[in-house]
Amino acid sequence: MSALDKVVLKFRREGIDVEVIGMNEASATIVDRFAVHDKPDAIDELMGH
Amino acid sequence: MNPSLHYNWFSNIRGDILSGLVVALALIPEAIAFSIIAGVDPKVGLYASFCIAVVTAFAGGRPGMISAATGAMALLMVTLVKEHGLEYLLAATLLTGLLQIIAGYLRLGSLMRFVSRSVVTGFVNALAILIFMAQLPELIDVTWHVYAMTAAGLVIIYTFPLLTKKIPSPLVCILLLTAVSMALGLDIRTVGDMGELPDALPIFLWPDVPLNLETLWIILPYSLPLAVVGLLESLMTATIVDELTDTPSDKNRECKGQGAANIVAGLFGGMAGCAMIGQSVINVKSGGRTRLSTLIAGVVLLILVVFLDEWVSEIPMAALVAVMTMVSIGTFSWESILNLKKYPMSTNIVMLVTVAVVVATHNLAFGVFAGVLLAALFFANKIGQFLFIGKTQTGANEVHYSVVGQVFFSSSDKFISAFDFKADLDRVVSTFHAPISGISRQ
Repeated sequence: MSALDKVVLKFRREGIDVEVIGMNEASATIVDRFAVHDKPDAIDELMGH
Repeated sequence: MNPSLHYNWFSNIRGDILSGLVVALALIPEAIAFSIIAGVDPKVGLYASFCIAVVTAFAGGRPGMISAATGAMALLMVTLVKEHGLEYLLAATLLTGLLQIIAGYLRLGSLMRFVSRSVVTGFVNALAILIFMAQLPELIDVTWHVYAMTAAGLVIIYTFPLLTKKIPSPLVCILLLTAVSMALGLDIRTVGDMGELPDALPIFLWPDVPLNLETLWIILPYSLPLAVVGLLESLMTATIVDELTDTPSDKNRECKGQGAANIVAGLFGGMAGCAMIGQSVINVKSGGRTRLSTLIAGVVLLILVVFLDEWVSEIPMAALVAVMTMVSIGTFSWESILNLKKYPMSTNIVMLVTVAVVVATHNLAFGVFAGVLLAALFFANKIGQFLFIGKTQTGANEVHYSVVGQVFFSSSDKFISAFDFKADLDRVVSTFHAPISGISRQ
C-alpha cells in the first residue's frame, strides 16, 4: 500500500495528475481503507515519515 | 454391518492383524529406550504406548497410523522428570492432552497446508537418519555375533518376500533370530537387557501433585512444546501415511485423538507420546491399513510385555536393529537425492535445511519451522519477481502504466522504480491487472 501511495504522491508532487484504475474488489477495498494518497494532507503525511 | 465401520475396522483383517503383530514387537524396545531417555521406568513408556495406540485407534483421524511413546517427546521431558519427578510428568501429560484437544477444536490441523512437500521430504529424510543413528549404539563395541545376526536379519527381511509375501518379513526375521539366539545360547544383548518389563496391567491413578497455579506454572512450559511437537509429528506422519495409502485423513480429528490419548496415558501412568513415522511406515508396509492394525499393535504390545515377558525379553536387539535399519532405508526418500538436479534450487535448499536442522538439534519441530520459514521466504521472493510494468505513451503529455503481478512488500521496490517521476507529463494512468497486498507503512 505504501508503494502505491509513494508513486501517486511523487507524481502529484511533480504536478502530474494520476489516475489509478482496474483494481479488483479486494485491492480497491484495501486502498479505500488504508491508502493516504486520496486523503487530505496526503503529501504532508508521507513527507512526515 | 455399517459400511463405514467395516471400511475403518474390518476391511483388511488379515493384513491388519499381521502388521499389528510386527508393530507391537518393534514398539517394545523403542518404548523402553524412550523411557530411559526421559529418565523414567520402562513401564512408563510401555503403558503409554499401549494407552496411546488403543485410544488413537478409536479417536484418531488417520486409520493405520501408529502412535505411542516417542523419542521426540521423550527429549522434551528430561528436565521436568529430573527436577520434579514422575508425578509432574504425568500431570504435564494430562495438560498436553488438553492443549491438543483445544488445538483440534480450534482447527489448527488445517495449518498443515502451509507445510510444503519439500519440508515433508526433509522431515522424512531427517527422521530416517535419526532412526539409523539410534541403532548405532547397538552396533558399537559388540561381538561379531551381533554383526552376523544383524546382517542375517537384513538378508531375511529383503529376501523372504521373494518366497512369500503372506507373512511380513520383519516378523519372520524377529522369530528366526530369536530362535537361533536361544538355540545357540549366544551372549548378545536382548530386549530384556534394556530394562525391566512390567508384570501387571496399568491402573488408573490421578497424578499426585497439588492442584494449584504453582503446579500449572511448573508443567505448562513443558506441556506447551510437548503439545506442539506431538501434533506436528502426528500431522506430518498422517500426511505421509495419506500418501503411502492414497487415502485421506481428518487432521483436526487427529489433533483431538492425540489429546485424548495423552490424557488417558497420563491417567494410567504413561508418558506423553504422539504418532511414530517409523512404526507407521512398518505398519503400512507390512499390510496394515485400518484402525484394527493400530488397536492390535497396542493390545498385543501389552499382552506381550505383561504375559509373555520372558519370551519377549529373549528377542535379540540385533533382530530389532535389522528391522529398524530396514525402516530407515525404506523411510529415506532416495528419489529426493537422485532428483536434486531436476528440482529447483529453492526446493532442494528447503529440504536440505530441514534435514540439517533436525539432525543437528534432534528436534523435529525446529527443522519443520526452519523449512516452513525458508519456503515462505522463497515463495515471497518468487511471487515478487512476477511483476511486470508496461509503459505506453497515450498522448502528448500522457502515459499509461499497465501493472501485472502482485504488489506487496517483496516487490514494492521494483514497483516504485518502474515509474519515471521526472518525465514531462500532465497525466498518468495506472491500470492494475493484479492485486495489491499488505498495508505496511514505510
